[in-house]
Parts: sequence; C-alpha cells; structure tokens
Amino acid sequence: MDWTLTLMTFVPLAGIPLLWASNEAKVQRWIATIVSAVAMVLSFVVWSRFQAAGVGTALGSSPLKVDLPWISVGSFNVRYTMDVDAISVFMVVLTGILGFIASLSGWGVQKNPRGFFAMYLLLLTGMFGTFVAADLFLFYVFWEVMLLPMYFLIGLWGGPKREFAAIKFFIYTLVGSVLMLGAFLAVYFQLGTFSISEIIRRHAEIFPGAENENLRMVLFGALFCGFAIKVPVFPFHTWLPLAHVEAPTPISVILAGVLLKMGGYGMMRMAFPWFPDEVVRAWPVLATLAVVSIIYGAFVAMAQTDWKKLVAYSSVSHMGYVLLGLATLTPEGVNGAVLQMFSHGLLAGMMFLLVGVMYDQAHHREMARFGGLATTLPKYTFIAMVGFFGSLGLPGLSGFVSEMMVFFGAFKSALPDAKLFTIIGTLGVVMGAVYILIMIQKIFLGTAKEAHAHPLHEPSAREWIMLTPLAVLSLFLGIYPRIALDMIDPAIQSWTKEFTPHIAAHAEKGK
Amino acid sequence: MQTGIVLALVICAMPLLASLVISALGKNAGKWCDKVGIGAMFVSLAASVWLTLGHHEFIGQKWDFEWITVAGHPWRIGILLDGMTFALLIVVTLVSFLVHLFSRQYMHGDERFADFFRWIGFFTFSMLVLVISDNLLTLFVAWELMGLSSYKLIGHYFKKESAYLACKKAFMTTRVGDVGFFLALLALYLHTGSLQYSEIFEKAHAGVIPAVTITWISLGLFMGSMGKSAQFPLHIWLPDAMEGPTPVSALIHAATMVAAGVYLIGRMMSLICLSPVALVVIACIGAFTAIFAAAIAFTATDIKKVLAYSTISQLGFMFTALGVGSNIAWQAGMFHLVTHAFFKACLFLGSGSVIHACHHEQDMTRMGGLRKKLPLTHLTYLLACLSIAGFGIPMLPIGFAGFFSKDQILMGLWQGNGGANDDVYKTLCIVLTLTATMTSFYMFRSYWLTFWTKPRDQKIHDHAHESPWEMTTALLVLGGLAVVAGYGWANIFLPAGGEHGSLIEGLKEWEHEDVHHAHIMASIFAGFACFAGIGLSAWCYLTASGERARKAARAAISPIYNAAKRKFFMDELAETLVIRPTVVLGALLAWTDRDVVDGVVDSVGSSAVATGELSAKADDSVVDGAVHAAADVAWGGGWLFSRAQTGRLRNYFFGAVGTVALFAVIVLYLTRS
Repeated sequence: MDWTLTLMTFVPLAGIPLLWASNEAKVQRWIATIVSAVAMVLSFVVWSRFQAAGVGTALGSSPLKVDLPWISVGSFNVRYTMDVDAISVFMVVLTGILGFIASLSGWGVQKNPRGFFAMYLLLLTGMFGTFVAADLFLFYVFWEVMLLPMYFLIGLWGGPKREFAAIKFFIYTLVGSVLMLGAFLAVYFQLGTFSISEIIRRHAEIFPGAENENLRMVLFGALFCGFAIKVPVFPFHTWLPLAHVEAPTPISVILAGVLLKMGGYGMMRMAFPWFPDEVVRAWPVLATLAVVSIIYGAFVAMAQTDWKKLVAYSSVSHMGYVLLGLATLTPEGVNGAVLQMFSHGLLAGMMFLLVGVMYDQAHHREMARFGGLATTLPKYTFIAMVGFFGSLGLPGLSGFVSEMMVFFGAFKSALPDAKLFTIIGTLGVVMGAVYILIMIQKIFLGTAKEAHAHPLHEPSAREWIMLTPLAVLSLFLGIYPRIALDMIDPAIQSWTKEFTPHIAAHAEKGK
Repeated sequence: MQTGIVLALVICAMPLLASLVISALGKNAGKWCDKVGIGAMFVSLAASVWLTLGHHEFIGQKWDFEWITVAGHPWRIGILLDGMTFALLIVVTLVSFLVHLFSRQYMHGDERFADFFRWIGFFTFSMLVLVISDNLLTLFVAWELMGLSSYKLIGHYFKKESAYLACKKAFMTTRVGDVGFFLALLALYLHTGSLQYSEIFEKAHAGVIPAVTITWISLGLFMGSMGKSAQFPLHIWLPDAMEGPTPVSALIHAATMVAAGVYLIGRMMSLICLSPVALVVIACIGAFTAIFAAAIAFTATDIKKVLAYSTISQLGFMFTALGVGSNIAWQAGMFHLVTHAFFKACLFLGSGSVIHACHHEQDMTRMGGLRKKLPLTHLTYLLACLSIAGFGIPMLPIGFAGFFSKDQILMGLWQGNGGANDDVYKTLCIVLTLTATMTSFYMFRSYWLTFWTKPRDQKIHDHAHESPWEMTTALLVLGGLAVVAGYGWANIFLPAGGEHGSLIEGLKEWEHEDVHHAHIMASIFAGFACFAGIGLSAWCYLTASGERARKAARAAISPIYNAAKRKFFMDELAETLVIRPTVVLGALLAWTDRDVVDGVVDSVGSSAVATGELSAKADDSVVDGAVHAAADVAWGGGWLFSRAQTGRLRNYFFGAVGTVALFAVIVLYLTRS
C-alpha cells in the first residue's frame, strides 16, 4: 500500500497546529510556506512515481492506490479510496505549484495571519483530496471541505464587499454541490457503489433502457450544472467576477488557478463518462454554452474598467475553451482542454498576482488611473507581458498549444455542426487580443495618468519568486508540451474511445 | 545532420541569441547591444552566403522531428531547404544586417536603444524561422511571433499616443486575418492529417481534399496574407505602422512581416493552384489593392507615407502575379518580392537618412534641393526609384532589378494560365500597367520634391548634412542591389516545377516559346509605364508649365483627390463598421451581465430570503412540526456562520435546503417504478 497520496493530502492539515507554535506573524508565514512547499514536493513525488510505474491508462490501475473500508452501515458502504490517473496527477501537480506560490502571496496578509493560513492550509487539503479521491463520498467530503475555508477566506480577508461576495460564492457553489449530490445519490442507489472507477465501468447499468432516457438526461443535467457552476460556464458565471475581485490576491490565484479546474475535472471524471449517450445528445447545448462563454466572456472583459475584473472575465472566456474541448470528444480537443486547464492555472494565477502586486502599491485597480508603467517599471512590465501575451494565446507560451488543440479537435469532431461552432469560437482569438491589448495600452503604455502618493516600485524578491516560476513553466509547456502530452494522451485516448459508439449511434439515428 | 540544415539553424539562432544576450546584459545593454546585434547578424549573413553559394549541394536537404504526439498521431516539424528558402534567407539576413548597421547611428542616443536592438533581433529570428519551416505549424508560430515583434517595434515610442495606437492597430488587424489562416490550418489538418507541406501537397494532388474545400482553404490562407501583407481591406495598419522608427519600417516593408504574407501564398501555390476561383480572387484583390494604394500615394506629402502606400501597391503586384497560377507568374511574384525588398529597404533607409539630416522633418513640402547636401543618399534614392519604376531597355535583358520583375509580372498576367479566366488576367495586366505608370510618377514625385526643386524651408536646408558611414554604407549596398539584383536570381533560386527539390508543382507550365508574344506586350506596357510616369512627373514638378497643368488637373478631379488624401475613408469605415459596434456590444453585454444574468441570480437569492422569512412567520404562528424541523436545521447552519456573517445567511441557507428537498422530490418522482 502506497501512502503518498494520503500523505500529500493531509500534510497541510497536519501543518495547521504548527501555526500555534509562535505568535510571530513572520514565523507563521514561514511555517505555512514550508508546509505548502512540502505538499508541492509530495505532488512531484506523486508525478514521478506515477510516471515510473508506467501503468495503464484508466483509474484503478495505479500503484499509488489506497483502498480501505471506511464507513459501513448495512448496505451503505463508503470506502477510503485514493487513486490517480494521468489527468488527476496533472491537476495535483498544478495544485502543488499554485499552492506553494499562493502561500507566498499570502505573506502580504496583515490581518490575523494565523487564522488566514489555518484556513489556507485546510483549503489545500480539500483541493488535493478532491483530485485524488476515488470514492464518491470521499470526493464529496473533500469538495465541501474546500468550500468552507474559501468562504471564510473571502468573507474575512477580502475587499470592501467581501461579505456579500462570500455569501454569494458559498450559496451559488452550494447549489452546485446539491445538484451534484442528488445525482451521486441516484447513481449510488442504482449501482450500490461509491467507487468512481466502478461506476465508470458499469455506466451502462445506470437507469438503462429507452424508457429512462429523460431521467438520465436530468441526472446528467444536474451533474453538468453542478460542475458548470464551478468552471464557470455562462450563464452560471456571475459569482466569479465578484468573488475574484473581492478575494485577497492569494485566494484569487487559488480560485482561478485550481478551483475552476474542479469543474472541468468533475466533468471528465464523472458527468461525461457516466452518461456518454447524454453527452452526445447534449452536444449542441454544450457547444453553444462553450462558445458563448468564450466570446461573451471576452466581450464583457473588454468593457471592464477594473483591472482585476477584466482578468476575472478573461477566466470565463478561457474556461470556455475547456468545455469546448471536452465536448468535442476527440483526443485532440480533450488533450487541449486538459492542457488548457493547466495553462490557465498558470497564466490566470500569474495575472492575478500581477494585478495584486500593483494593487498593493497603488491601492486601486482602476485601469484608467494607471499608465506608462512600461517606462517607470520595465522589469515588472517584462514579466507582465509574458503573462498577458500568454493569456492572449501567443505561440511559445502554454495557452497557444492548448487553445490550438481545442480548435483542432473541435473542427475534427464528428458531432453535428462542429465546424460551425469552431468557426464562431475562433472569434474568441481576436477578442482575446482586443481586451488584452486595450488593457496593456491603458496600464503600461502612454504616460502616467496621476502621481501616486508613494512612487510605484518594481516587484520585491518574494514577488519575483512567485512570478518567475509561472512564466518559466508557461514558456516550457509552450515549447515542449510533450512533457504533459506524453502522460495524458494515452489516458485521454482511452477516455474518448468510450464515446465513439455513442457518437456513431447518434449519427445513425439522425439519418 | 546535414551541413545545410546546420547552417540554417545557425542563421536562425544568431538573431535570437543576440536578442537574449541583450536582455541578459541588463544595465550594460545600452553599450553593447548594437555590437552584439550587428555581430550576430553578420554571422547569420555569412552563413546565408555560404548556403547560397553552395545551393546546388544543399538544395532539397531536410530534417524533421516529432514535436508532439496527439491521439497517437505524431506532429512532425522541421526544416526544408529549397530555392524559395534560399532566396528569402539571403534577402532577410542581408536587409536585416544592413538595417542593424544603419540603426546603430540612426537610433543613437535613443533612450530605449537596447530594447530596439533586442526586438529587431527577435523580429529577424521570427522571419527566418518562417522561411526555413517545412510545415504550416511552425510557420504560423513564427507568423504570430512576428506579430509580437512588430507590435513592440511599431510601439517603440509608446509614450506617444499615435505610436501606441498604431501598434495596437497593427496587431489587431493582422489578427483578424490570422483567424482565416488558422481556420485553413484546421481544415488542412482535418483532411490530410498533417501540416507538413510535402504531405499536404501530395494528398491534395491525390484528390483527398474536395475541390470546394480547397477553395475555402486557399481563401483562408489568403485572408492571413491580407492581414500580414496589407491587402485591401486589411491594409489599414501599414501606413500607421510608420510610427515606429524608420529602420523598423525598412525591416517591415522589405524583409519581414509583409514579405511573410506573400511567402505564404507563394509557398502554398501547389495547393492554391488547384482552385481557379481562389486564384482569380487573389489576383483581383491584389490588383485592386495595387491601384487603390497608388492613388493614395499620389496625394501623400509625408515621405514615409508615400513609401508605405507604395509598399501596399507593390505587394498588390505580387499577389496579382501569384493569382495567375502559372510557372512564370509565380516566379515573377516571388522574384518581385526579392527585388522589392532591396529597393524598398533602400528607399526607406534613404528616407531615414533624409529625415535624420532634416532633424526629424518628414514632410516633403518642407524639403527640396537636398541633392547637393546629401550626395550619397541622393544617389541611392535615385537608383532605388529607377528600380521601382522598372527602368531598363525594353526587349533587352538590360535594366534595373525592378525592370525584370515587373516586366515578368506583366508578362505572366498577359499570358494567363490557359484557363477560363485568361481575359480577367489580361484586364488585370492593363490595370497593373496603369498602376505601374502611377508608381513611377509618384516615386519620382517624391524624388523631385526631396532632392530637386527649390528648398522650401531654408532653415532645414541649411542644417542638412550627409549621414555617417554606417548609414551610407547600408544605402550604397542596397542601392547597388536595386540595380543588379535582377540578374540571375529568378532562374537560380526560383525554379517552378518539381526540379531542384522545389515543392511547387501543378502550376501551368509555359515553355519559353509560348510566351514570346506576351513578352513583347509586357515590354511595351512596362516601358511605357516607366518612361511615361517619370517623364510626366518631371514635367509636372520641374517646369512651370507642368506645375500649372498639375494644379489644373488637381482642381478638376478635386473630389477624388480629396478622397484619396483621406485614404478613401478606410479608417473611418473601420471605425464605424467594426470598432464602434464592438465597443458598444461589449458595453451592452457587460450591462446584460450585471443587470440581467446576475440580476436573475440575485432575485433568485432574494426570493429564497423572502421564502425563508415567510416560513419563519409560519413557524411563529402555526406550530408545524415539519417547518419546525426545517427551521432547526437552518438555525444549526446559521449558527455556524453567524459569527462572521449577517443574519441573512440563515435565510439563504433555508433556500438551499429547500432546493435539496425539491431536487429530492424530483428524483424520487422520476425513479418511482
């Protein structure tokens, strides 16, 4: 039995009592950062062990698996199952990296740092757990464990409208959880198991037959909506700008970098493989929502005057690519979607950090009040350009590869009108350039609009340690995406293969 | 790895290396950047010369590797050396080297001197990658990186509003074209499963791609080219792009950026020639752009603006030729790209030298009589003007570089491709002859106004001085090439047809004998265009009677003249039809998002609160067991958060519990059996 996954997941939780070792804020910061660093290293260990094992592609075949009975009451049988496949490993690594970087960003928190880091470490445990849990009950527990600290982190350490933002985030996400839970229970009562891999294997037994068609669609819809809120997909996205803008910088980073990925991950792990036929039937709706998210998010981002809000809406647009890629059910598209999740994690995290660096100094985020930073802060401008041009999809950085593959998959997809959706979706490529370039012009070019009380200065050493790895990783993944693709591609191929008969059957019916 | 491939890699790597070294130098960059840049480009140029001299040995060499594997399917990228690659490599490295040399003095004292060298290095690198690629994927990557470099360089003086608007405009306009290009890539990948030229062409000729799809793909590729190579209506960024420093304009207009679009169409000709519709569309848009831009160039008084519009016009010539789809016309189009690179770089750097001498005055109406003050600049500018005008002896192989390429374009058009559209091509030949006449007129207009006529601003004239040796050397080399580059190039490097490892196949192959008639016609046309244009402009600008006639003519066509002076309202059209609606739509959607989409969410929230309050009241008045229990749950949850939160959370929570209940009821209802 390999306890690496368990260790990684609970190291942050175990680190919480250490925060009481000292009353010095400085020591507490170091403790939190070291604990996050240990978790990050463990996530790398998970990656290397998984790679070294060189095992099959499906969930359940990894040597990292831990499977123990947990709660057993009558026929109600919950197991402590932790397991990974290539996709969860990829997400775990992202969580490890961003968890460490955001903990550094948390050094800027002045108000009750001990409470902040306690919540933060609990959040880390929740995130790791969500990605490695292979039992539905356990998954749900971690999912909710994530929610609670998030609520406090926004509500207590956020901006002026933090309380409303926290409530809205909490309730909205809770509605999603409830929809998800309902579907989980329905599936459980049907199959009698909480094991995610077993449900995937036995998906044909979930309310089989033509007479249950509508029920299956309702369940798929519930699951999809539950995850779509998290992604977020239009029109379930309105919690996001508020929560992102009100959250403190490290939490915005985690929110955009990791939490949004839970939605895409959930779709890949549950909603899609459990209901393959429904996915194919729902394709026009899924594709429409994806394309609308891409374009709508970009248009709304363009109209923002608050810098952080612009970045928040860019997430809506970029996560639309994830949904589009997944919904195409082609290996290219799904590879693109998974890469896009990782890439967006890096780039959105980076953009929020970049905004945070300036917000800490200027104490405002009105783009119209900045200007000319390229002259006064050339180094900051340089690193910012990496992040923003990465977000715009510049080749050489990770966003290009992922968006490109999503489109290749979408165009190739055999689903009806896939080409039309792709053509409309590529409008997002232009709009992405539009809002990013407008923002760059307002903030970096021209001349300073107003004198700041304290002249703005270049990022500090700590901020460089946060920003540089993200930029380097994005560049590395943009030039050498193999490192990720070689791992996820086989898993994705077997994932997409499951849908082929359903697509064919659907096409047959259409004729 | 073969020698040719190694050389190609060295050629590409040097400017990138220079760019990185300059970045790494940090504070010392200002002192070293020019030397690093020039040195790197010199190595690059030397390697190109080596490659070119040994082209017989190196041609056809290729090398590729597996970049990624998706769906178990390898995506291979690599390098391919054929005639087109050689022709472009030498042009790009040579022009870029001379631009580096020129800039050392021209940009001297600029506060962002190092940034400038960093980005022209990167710009050159991107173009070189584009040229050596054996596939459309790396071509597209290089294409986009060039977009970034041009953005940085056009916005070099980003403190100025006009500069930062220009760089944004350039990037966005070209991105619009890129969408078409990208969609073409998607379609090619779908049908051929590859983005490598050789495989695409093979499958296309095997009939794997449906004919209609080929037309759409070709037009998509051309849309990309229209953006990069400034064809109507995506040309609007190029005149504004002269907000960048003048050497950058020379680079953009000659060796990089705009050349990329022509290169793409030339490179993909084996595919495009399968679609007669796409060919004729390309030719027509090219010819229209040529005459349209020439008309605007007539009215420009800014010396750089004349050159900018002349570039758009000359690019139109190239596309018209490529749109014919015959071997001689394809060769003519690519050949004109080469000769144009030399004379246009010479003209731009010449104008830079003039502007430098006149203390950053660009308006020709304030110049005049500078030929004695700037003898070398004057000489090279004259040579380049003669070259662009196509000066030479008709019917004989004696002339300036532009003479050969322009002659051949007209010949290719007159000859057509033996298909149904030959009448169209003949008409376009006449249009281009007219445009060529206009070209020699407006180019010489700029020449007379700058170097002859009486000085119109004595102060500027008095202070004018010849530029330092780095600048004049660059001018002399380019001026020399503008004269002699017509010899040899086309036949050595641009063979159409399968020989010499060239990928260009499937074009209409005309033999030497076939084109005899067309050659005579083209010589007459080209000779007329050159001499009529030059003669007319000399009369108009150097004699009193000519000036009277000119003013009368201008008055007679004043509506057209004024429209041309305002660029035929293209910027206003773009503003009204594209930019403003986009901004309005953005504002509208932002409002929708806030007040409609989120409004619905909030009202659901408030109705949940109202329900909660109603239930609480019911709880108070009617003591109901079920409600009581629900309220207890709500209180329990509420307590958890009450320390941090307002009392309203309780009500929200109530709403959530209600949702659970409702959902449970639905599930139970549906699962009943």
